[in-house]
Amino acid sequence: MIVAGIDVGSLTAKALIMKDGEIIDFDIITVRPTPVQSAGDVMEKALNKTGLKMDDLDYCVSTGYGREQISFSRKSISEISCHGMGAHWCRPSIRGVIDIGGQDCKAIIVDKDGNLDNFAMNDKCAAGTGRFLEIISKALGIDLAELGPLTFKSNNPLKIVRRCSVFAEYEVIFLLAEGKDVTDIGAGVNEAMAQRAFSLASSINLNNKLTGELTVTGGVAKNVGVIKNLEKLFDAEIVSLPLDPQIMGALGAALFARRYYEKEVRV
Amino acid sequence: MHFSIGMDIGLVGIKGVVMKGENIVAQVVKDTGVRPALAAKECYEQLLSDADISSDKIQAHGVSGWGSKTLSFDFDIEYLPDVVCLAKGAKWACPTSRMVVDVGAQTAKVARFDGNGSVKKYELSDKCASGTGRFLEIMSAALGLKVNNLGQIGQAASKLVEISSQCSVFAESEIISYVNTGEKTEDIVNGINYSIAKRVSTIIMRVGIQEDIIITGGVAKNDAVVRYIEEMVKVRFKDYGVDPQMIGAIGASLTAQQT
Repeated sequence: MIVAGIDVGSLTAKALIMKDGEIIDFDIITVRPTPVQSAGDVMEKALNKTGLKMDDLDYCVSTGYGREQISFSRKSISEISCHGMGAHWCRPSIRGVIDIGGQDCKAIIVDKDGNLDNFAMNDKCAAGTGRFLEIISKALGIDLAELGPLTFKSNNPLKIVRRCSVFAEYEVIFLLAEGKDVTDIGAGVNEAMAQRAFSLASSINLNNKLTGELTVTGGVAKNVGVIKNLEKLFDAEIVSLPLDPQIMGALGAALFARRYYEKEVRV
Repeated sequence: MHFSIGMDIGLVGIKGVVMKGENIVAQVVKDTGVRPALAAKECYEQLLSDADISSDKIQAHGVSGWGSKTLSFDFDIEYLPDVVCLAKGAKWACPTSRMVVDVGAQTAKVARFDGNGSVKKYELSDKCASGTGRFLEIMSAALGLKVNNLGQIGQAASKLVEISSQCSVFAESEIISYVNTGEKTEDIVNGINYSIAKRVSTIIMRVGIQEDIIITGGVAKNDAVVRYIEEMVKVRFKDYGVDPQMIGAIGASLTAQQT
């Protein structure tokens, strides 16, 4: 049985191919002008490496914002379900996923089979997304990559009071003008960011309801300071995934494809 | 007649007045910059020199605004609630008014007050930059325009490019995408003016509309925003012959006189 999952996001498109329950290949490209083109190109690239053709696919499921338009996929499923399913397959003890990207933040609870139990999402406000960290690191005059380690260098993280990214940026500029240390401000920023994600997760009771492991995905997962603060807030270890987290959506879609194939086609 | 000084310390600008009784003797606006304490001190000194008066002649000092609590002065000063000063200043600027809408750099405030300028009901929005002057500044910078020109530019539009993001950060990316898809600058600006007017109107409706209403704060200088708010809440703002930015400082000065 050969199945595929395809994830067309706003910045990248991903395709992943599974054969008999094992990943045989995947690929990631930057998006083309239309979701249809992105899907076609990334699937072709992934297939090429395996020597397979489109006709060899038994079932394909699509996800991501362009998921409805892909003609070779037989079903489309929300990226939240796929993301949770993919992460759970990588590490079956996972029950909670927090995905913090450049434009949104999602908290996901999955059951013992990887099915979506509950979720919360913020895509309305830049506070609590990667954009917040981008804005603040620019105000601090440091690279985004330098921000995370500051948590481990500071003995006195400063509290960032304002939630709105625009006003928090001012707050940081005033702190700098007062002569406060970049290390302490940066550590405070990581703390504030973790607090936002924790609040979102708490809105679906992820903090109390966590029955297994917790992972954090998305660009902000690379910030070790945010991760450290989240571990403190959740009072739990945050585990990492054995595969590129970017591919979780496509992986989850392929897993759904396998499930639908078994249910609809093979009987 | 007693002299008093009122200062309104905002996120972007510090506004100050010297008053003799009910009359303005001098007024100063300064950029807050990154050192509000220094800017406030400079504003104070310039007020004294513009009014040609020594500090011992000032009987009352009132300060309000975002920065007031964080600053200290070497003379007795009344720290006054923003909304109290705003209502007092509005009543002074337009004696028949009973309601004021103030849109500043980081706060939108709406207050109803009685014939003495005492606040009866108010609402404010200071958690989110949408619906504040800061929103307009970010959008104008993204388009390479001066914030003071947004009103005029927007009024030349032939259509409205609606901004769907409420968040200033996301709205900034959104308008850049409209530039890239070939939308005209004036049509995008029209959408920006409409967007902030919608946020402010929501706050006005929470307080409940009352005739005899004025609009103050830096954003009151944007005619297009003012017209949109008038359409949305179905009211006409009264004219008054004072710089709309100065109302809070005037209110601070008057309130300090009375305490």
